[in-house]
Amino acid sequence: MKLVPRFRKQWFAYLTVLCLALAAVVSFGVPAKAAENPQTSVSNTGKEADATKNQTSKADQVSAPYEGTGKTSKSLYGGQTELEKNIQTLQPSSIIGTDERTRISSTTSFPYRATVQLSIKYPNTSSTYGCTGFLVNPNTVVTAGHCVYSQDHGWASTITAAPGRNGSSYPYGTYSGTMFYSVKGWTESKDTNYDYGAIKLNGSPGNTVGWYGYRTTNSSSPVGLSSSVTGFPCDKTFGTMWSDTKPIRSAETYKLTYTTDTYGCQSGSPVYRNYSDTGQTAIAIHTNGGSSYNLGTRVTNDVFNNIQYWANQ
Amino acid sequence: MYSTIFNIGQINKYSKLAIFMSILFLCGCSSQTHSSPKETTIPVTLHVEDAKGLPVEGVQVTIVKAPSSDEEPSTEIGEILGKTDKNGDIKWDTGRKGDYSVALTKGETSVTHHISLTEDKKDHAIPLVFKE
Repeated sequence: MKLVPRFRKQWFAYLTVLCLALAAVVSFGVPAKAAENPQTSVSNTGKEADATKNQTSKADQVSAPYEGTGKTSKSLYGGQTELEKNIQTLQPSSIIGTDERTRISSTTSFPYRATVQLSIKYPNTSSTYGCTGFLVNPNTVVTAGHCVYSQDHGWASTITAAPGRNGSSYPYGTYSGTMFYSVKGWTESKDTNYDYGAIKLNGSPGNTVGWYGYRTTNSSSPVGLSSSVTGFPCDKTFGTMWSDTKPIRSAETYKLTYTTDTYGCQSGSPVYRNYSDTGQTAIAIHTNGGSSYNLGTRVTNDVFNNIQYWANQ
Repeated sequence: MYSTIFNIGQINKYSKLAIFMSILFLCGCSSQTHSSPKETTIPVTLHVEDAKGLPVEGVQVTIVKAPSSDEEPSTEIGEILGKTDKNGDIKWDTGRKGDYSVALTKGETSVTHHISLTEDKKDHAIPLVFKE
């Protein structure tokens, strides 16, 4: 008679152990998932790839720029004037101190013609979103991760790219994005350290407009190096290109910071300089505006490898 | 023997509590994973007028989130709402509570305003001056 309650007691004990084990699996399963490589490439079609090579080498990786032919298909300027009437009732936050951005009127010269204005549509919203990108090969535009994948709306539904746009003039036409890429650290973990991505185009404007080089800055710190941020800020005449040049303020593992003036719609702009050995070369991808400095995703070994992987797709 | 049965009996009491706690824990994990509450949107109308208070049509309106601080920088993507209608109005349905920079552009003229979107502005018009 005593065996029955003893079995029941044992059954409860086993069930307790089982429940606790299940709870442990659930609770520890989350960090196990987070331990996935955040630099794993993901695309809007669901394709995943690990393009990183676990490189710890301090030697710089460099991809060279190309100036292209620069030949335009249409008349270049649609009655654009050089003068800008800028009435600013309140200084936007990502303008650090005095607004020192200058308009690029010769958008068909290199490297400006390889700078791309992006118009983005997301599912279930009527708005259009504005960003900037830059070509890194004939048909690949690098930009911020949040310009291809929104934490609110998911992957972009359509992206239109206009290289060298100058207001209402499109000297090299427009192209549609056919595939969008980012990394899991951005799309799944929402970690701003991994805020970068790329767009494959339905044509190869890079053969004409050229492309930026890109490189890591492992061997010597970029702090103090004069660098430019060029893009299409949306507080200016729509579709006009603006640029500012300042020294890099600080270099963190995943980010570079700078006091270079920027504004909304400049996410994805190249943070670049004219290196004596590699020419016009991006060292970061502009992503954020702050109160006293702005910042971009640094081209690390992993970022370099992913850009190279996306370019080769 | 009596002592052993007694101890198992004690474990049995605690095991029920443990099962209950485990279920609560599992439910907690599940809700944490699947239901992150989202801030509700505050739909407003942006009304653009000139210095005399007359509505300005055809002004392109772009919204950019303003950074809270250097520790919380904002992404520099712009939401292009479109152009104001003949009443100088344009709807903004996607905004959430926070500070924003609103860029108004028409032709070669541009103006920026800073606004704070709060619950009390819901379904109201926010006036913005555009000096051509």
